Amino acid sequence: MTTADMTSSARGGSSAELWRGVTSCAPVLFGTIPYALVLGAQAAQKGLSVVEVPLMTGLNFAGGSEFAAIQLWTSPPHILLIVAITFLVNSRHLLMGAALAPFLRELPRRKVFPALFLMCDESWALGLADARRRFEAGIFPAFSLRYYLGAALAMYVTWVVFTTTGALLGPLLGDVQA
Amino acid sequence: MIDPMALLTIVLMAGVTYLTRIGGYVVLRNRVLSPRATAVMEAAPGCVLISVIAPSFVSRHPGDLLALAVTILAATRLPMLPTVLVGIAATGLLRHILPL
Repeated sequence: MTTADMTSSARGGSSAELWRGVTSCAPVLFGTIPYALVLGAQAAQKGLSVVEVPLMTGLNFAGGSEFAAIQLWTSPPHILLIVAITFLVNSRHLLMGAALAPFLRELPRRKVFPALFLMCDESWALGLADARRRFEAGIFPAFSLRYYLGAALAMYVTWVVFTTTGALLGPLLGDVQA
Repeated sequence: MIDPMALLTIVLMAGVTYLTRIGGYVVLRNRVLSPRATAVMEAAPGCVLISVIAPSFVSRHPGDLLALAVTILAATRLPMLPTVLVGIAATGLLRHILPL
């Protein structure tokens, strides 16, 4: 991606920026799919239903904490233990959000709060790297919300769809280990 | 289909996760950082990414370690998509050839 590309796509309107985010996330999506399938299959083994799996991966949307939660899952689950582990595993988000904060100053809160719901390792890394490149290139605003959303939504859809697929296929595959 | 205790656990997980996502932004939104704090924030992304991926490097499986070496080599020469494909293929192949 050259500076000229970035400037032209910035002028190219909102859908071009969204698409730039989706395509730059594509290589990462390939790497995510196997993990999503394994998580879904493990969750099914632990007795989570095909509805509960997308509920967890769609509302929580943080893979590391979901793997940890599934390892600890019992029926009924130890709620406090699982919630505490979830916080510990995801506490890195605090630092990630802090690193992103200077680039979000120009945006209204009503856009930032929903956008942060979709902040995962991948969308954060892509969005921040893109913002730094655009800043160096003198493009304003440095942070492209649409580019970030393109990458983040691609991750979100992939994660929810393939964890659900894993939960559906898991019982057919037998014992799954990461 | 949905167990009430499972639902409660999932909703609470989602709640604390969202708090971690907005926490850094809420605290730093209207702050002007000192040069020292700015330097820390600029170094943070690399540290976070390494801590996310490093646990996967700890493996007793020789196939995994060889695949890691192949992937690092690929990452220094190729763009991201071919690197990911090389990594996945190398891991699958080497795990198959070299049983633990």
